[in-house]
Amino acid sequence: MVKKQEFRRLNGRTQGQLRSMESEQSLLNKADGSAKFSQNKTSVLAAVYGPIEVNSARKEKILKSYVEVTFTPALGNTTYLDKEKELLVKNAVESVILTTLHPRTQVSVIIQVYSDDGSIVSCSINAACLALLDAGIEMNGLIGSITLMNEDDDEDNNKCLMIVDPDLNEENNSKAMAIFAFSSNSNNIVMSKTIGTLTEDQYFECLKAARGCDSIIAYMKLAVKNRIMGQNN
Amino acid sequence: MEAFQKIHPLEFYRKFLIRSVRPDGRSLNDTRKTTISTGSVTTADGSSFVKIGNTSVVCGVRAEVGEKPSTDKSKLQSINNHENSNIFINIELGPICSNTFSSTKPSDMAMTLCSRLNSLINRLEIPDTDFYFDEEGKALWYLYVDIYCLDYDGNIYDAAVLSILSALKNVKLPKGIIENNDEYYKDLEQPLRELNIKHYLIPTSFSVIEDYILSDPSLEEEKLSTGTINITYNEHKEICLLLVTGINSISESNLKECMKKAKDRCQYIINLINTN
Repeated sequence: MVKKQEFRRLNGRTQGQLRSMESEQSLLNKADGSAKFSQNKTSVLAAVYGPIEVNSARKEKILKSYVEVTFTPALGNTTYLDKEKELLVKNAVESVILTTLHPRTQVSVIIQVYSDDGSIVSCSINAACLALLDAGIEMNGLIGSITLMNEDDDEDNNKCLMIVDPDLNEENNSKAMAIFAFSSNSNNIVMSKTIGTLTEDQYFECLKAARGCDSIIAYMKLAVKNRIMGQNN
Repeated sequence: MEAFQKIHPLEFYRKFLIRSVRPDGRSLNDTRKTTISTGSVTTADGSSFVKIGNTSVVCGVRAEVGEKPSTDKSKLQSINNHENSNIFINIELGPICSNTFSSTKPSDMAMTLCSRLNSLINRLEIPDTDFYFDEEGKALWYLYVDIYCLDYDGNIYDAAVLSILSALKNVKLPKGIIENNDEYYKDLEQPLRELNIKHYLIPTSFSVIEDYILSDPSLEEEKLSTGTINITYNEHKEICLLLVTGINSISESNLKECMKKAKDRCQYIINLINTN
């Protein structure tokens, strides 16, 4: 156990240390709500329009509003990989939005990546949540997301090291990654995705560690409080 | 009865689910009959046809020779990056399989599925030497895997993964000779090689309808569901891809239950693939 605590990552963080979070809300004029969320060099801008008229009749839902997420990468066109991220974000935010309140409408979430330095899906979900809060969309809770990864231990080949919130360099050297999203109103898993091969034990170890990262939701609460009440409170 | 099903599909399902049975006669944990046949497309370098209940997909592999990329592969090696792979997967969900898909542009679902399947390819751990065209590997084989869905009745992910695996197992590549640096010849005297696929991929999908978890959902069940769980194991029961999505969250105990069900199915699927 002592060895674990001494372990330092290349970027100087400890195993369970998140990068410091920064955010800014309402930076866009036209959008109903917007937020920028950054974790060091990973930075994402999210804008929310809604509830608005559904732009294509085929997507209109009679009993609830339709949630649309657009994910735009920092460089180049949207690829198939971005489409998958889009779906992950969509599934995550749709589970907290009270869609039944505004039937036959649409809520659009637009994610623009400033720079990607790892954990981009988690960062996008967190930014989307802040933007939805800023837009005043009714939600049943906050949603926070965290990425974890496993990498081979240099000293002991049979063991795997688990670290939270990897940057791009660490992601590229990883053996497996797991993305989680949790809602503040229940203990259940809202969204989870794994990349790479990991054993079941490792997965549940990641899940346990991810649950420990409630600082993200706490940060969001603080960010909103500061915005409404002013920095001094 | 039919009118009731059309007007209140959820209520209709609920009547069945509280008795732990589904309208098609299955229990909640039952999967549909799965059949795999390989080599049916003779013009392709490898092919398979997979049927799960009424869902049917056909998968073909086309092999092409290409030059070796100039960049060092080991530097690009990463779990996210599948561009370094010699296998490219594309899935087509055309209007033939369901009226929800249009013929013009690929649906979001097809694109998402495609990127998921491509990232699974590295989990097979096929050695680089298997793709060598000649002895030294100056030129490489590139495999284009195309999946066409013919009939869409839910659980396309499982069908797609099984079809890829069995089609790749069916691939036979000839050895080649390179003369004068740029003239490629197939060496027909040497025996054809098969790919050494190190790991199996065993997919199992679940749909969540209210508090019930249904294995191997049909299209109707997928439409009613509020959540989807895809679990893909390899033969060592290690997780290759686990995906929990949907508008309803899932508890840890339910997830564990799904994992257990998925593991129970492993041996059955391995046997199914091996008998072809």
